[in-house]
Amino acid sequence: MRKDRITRREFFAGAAKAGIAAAAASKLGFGWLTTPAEAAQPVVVVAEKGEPKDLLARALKPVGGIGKYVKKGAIVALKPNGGWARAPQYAATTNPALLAAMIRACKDAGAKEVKVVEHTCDTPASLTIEQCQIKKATEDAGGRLILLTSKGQYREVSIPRGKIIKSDLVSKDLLDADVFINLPIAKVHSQTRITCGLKNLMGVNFDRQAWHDSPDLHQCIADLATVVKPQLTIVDALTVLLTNGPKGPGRTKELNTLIVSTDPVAADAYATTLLGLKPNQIGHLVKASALGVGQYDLSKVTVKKV
Amino acid sequence: MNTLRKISQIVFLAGFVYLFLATTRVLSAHIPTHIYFQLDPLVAVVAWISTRSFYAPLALAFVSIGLTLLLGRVFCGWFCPLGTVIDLSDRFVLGLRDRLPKRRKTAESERRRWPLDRIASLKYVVLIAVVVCAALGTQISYFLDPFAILYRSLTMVFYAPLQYVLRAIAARAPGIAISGFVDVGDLQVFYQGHVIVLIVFVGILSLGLLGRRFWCRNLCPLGGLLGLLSIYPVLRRKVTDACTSCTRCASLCKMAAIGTDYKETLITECIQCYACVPICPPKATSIPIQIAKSNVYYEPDITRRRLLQGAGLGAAWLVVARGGGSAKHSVRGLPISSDVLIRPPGAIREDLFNEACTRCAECIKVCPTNAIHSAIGEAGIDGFMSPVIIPRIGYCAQPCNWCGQVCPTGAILPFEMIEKKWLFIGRAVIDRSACIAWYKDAECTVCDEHCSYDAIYQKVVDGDDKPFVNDEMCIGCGECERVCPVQPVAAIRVFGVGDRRDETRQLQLEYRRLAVLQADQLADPDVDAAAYQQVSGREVFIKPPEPKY
Repeated sequence: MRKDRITRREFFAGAAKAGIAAAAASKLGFGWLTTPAEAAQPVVVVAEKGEPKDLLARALKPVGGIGKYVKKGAIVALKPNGGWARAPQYAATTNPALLAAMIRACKDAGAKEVKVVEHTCDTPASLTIEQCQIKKATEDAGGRLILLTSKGQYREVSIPRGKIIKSDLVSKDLLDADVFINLPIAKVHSQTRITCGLKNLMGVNFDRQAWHDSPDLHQCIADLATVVKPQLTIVDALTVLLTNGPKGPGRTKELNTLIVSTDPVAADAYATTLLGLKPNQIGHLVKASALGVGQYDLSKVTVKKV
Repeated sequence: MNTLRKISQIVFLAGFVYLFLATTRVLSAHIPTHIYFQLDPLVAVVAWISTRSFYAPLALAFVSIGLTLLLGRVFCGWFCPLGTVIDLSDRFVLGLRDRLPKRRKTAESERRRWPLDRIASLKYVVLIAVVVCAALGTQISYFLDPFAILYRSLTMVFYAPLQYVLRAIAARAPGIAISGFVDVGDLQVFYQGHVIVLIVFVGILSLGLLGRRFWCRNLCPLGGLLGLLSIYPVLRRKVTDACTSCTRCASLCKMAAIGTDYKETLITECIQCYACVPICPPKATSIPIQIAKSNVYYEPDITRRRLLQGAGLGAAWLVVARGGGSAKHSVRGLPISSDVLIRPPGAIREDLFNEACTRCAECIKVCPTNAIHSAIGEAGIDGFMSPVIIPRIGYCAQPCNWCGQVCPTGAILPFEMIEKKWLFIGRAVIDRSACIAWYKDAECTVCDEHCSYDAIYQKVVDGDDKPFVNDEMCIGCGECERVCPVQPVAAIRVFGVGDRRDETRQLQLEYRRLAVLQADQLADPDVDAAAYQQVSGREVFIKPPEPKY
């Protein structure tokens, strides 16, 4: 039987479905871009001692569980630190086991697609992402690796609150995702003292050279953080790099710690203390705080150890 | 047989293109991508003569030599990929020519009858010049070797646009086999010297305007070499008495191998393509396997005059090459022609390098960072088109050793990744008048961040951190020069002075090697135990195992 017309009933059913889908999309899409700053005191969850997978499960519970952020059918964008062509032991890049565990957690929560977005510092991108084993971790866990290598993968975003940068090219995959989770590793950094969540966001913009040319890199990082806001920041402090960052090779220390927070600045501030520094020494944390991105002062943050 | 020959030509051209595409970091490990070059007798003979050493992998060339002795110039007719490309383009080019109003195609103009075709002996002049140059210790075969020409053209001219196509396919159909051909994300759109390569390639194809297979017939030194080798092959053209002298075979023969009475064949020219067999109206022509002497002549047109011309040409080239800042005029084994001559790691001694390198561009193709380019003036006239690293465009990535793996002639010897820590290719120097950390106290540490060898450190000078280079750690990979935000010329630049082939570096090298090996053994988590065994098992790559005079 040929069916070339739709009945009235089918029409209404279809229209209703589309309406629900559109409503859901408007609720989810771009949601993280417009999340208002939380009024209550920010919470930083610190999980210690354990395997990455176990740590992750423990640390996500106090912030509401993964299900609070990753809804069924959502498209998730993860931003690990996979910038350097170094083996994971050097602690220059995000732990691949942690990344794999996070991808699996998102999948289990019903995510439609988990994108792992990275703009590597070292070239070639493919070789770099292989060396730090993020490629293997992503593929094993069923995520989709997206290497940002051409300008077409970016979209212009205006930064109304920016002091130096007024607009910037940001990865489309990240902007179009329903959920954005930042997965940095805590390291010392030769220029910005530490590199963690906020500094990791430098890997979603197009032109890094311009930032280095600008008079104040710290301010650039803070400016971008006013528009690119991860819903969750999960800091890998399993093994931290204490000297000769960001690429190493340097002295590493196993801390077996995971830091989870909805406040990107607070998470970084706590990670700073693990690296033996004070948050008020880190320019971009102070400046991001001043722009209202988050709270760097740990005395105004609730730290929950689990 | 004519059809079979065409199929063979297409298959071997496709194989060549496949191996070209497969010359990537991922696939080179599994596929012998340089096998065509090792089958090329001209590459082998010139490399052996000019370096005075027998580089064993090139012995595969004896297969082609044996084939030619047995069957004749089938290499040219059936296998040579450049020959196939010329055949294909000739159809187009000749069609174009016939459309020109003034050139009316006549049987007479198409007919190129031996021995009137005197120009065919030019290829022997070229061959002699190539061999004389090799004997005197320089290399010019690279400019004329058919495989080198084709591979170079594919890499430096066609690969850049091809990458867009490959990437588009790989992006739309991720599962299919093509994904191994392209390192997604590593677009390499510029190769220094590509215009020269393009001109040579187009020039060779447009020689088709003068007649079919003009290049193979008159200029190709490999064709000359194989012609000399086809002394008494078993595949020989035979014409029975049924021949009516209709001239069709002679006007069709693209190699001008058919003689005045259409029964004679010049065996040094015949490429056994069988084109003359099916078109013979009385079916008088055949190219059977036979031992009996038929009307076949082995008369390579090498007169004393040709010999002298060839030798003179070779000697003249030597004068030009050596007079123009050659690598042989060097201080302590380093060329003085340029301060920015940076060779890929694993390169052999500079003078031997220029002699062994056949400029095939395999290293240029395989390099994942677009670091290796073809030299224009960097290596002197002697080293024209040889591979050099241009760090501003691409740097030598630490976890990579593929240029050594793919080199067919051993100009770049294979090395292990852990050896890169002492395979110095240059040394970085900071220009304090351009460095923004030095002259305007900017907070810039990009070079320090990126250095893979921990060779840049910060020291407080006048109250601010300033970058310094640790000469003992710097291997000259050029990553700092690549990433330096100062435009257009980087404030930190790599110069050839730190090359490991420089004798002044030897003591430092030995120290560094021992330190690295000990450190690797103890602490470096990156060291693959098997790779370490492999390195420690043989003589470590401090001084490359060089051929002896």
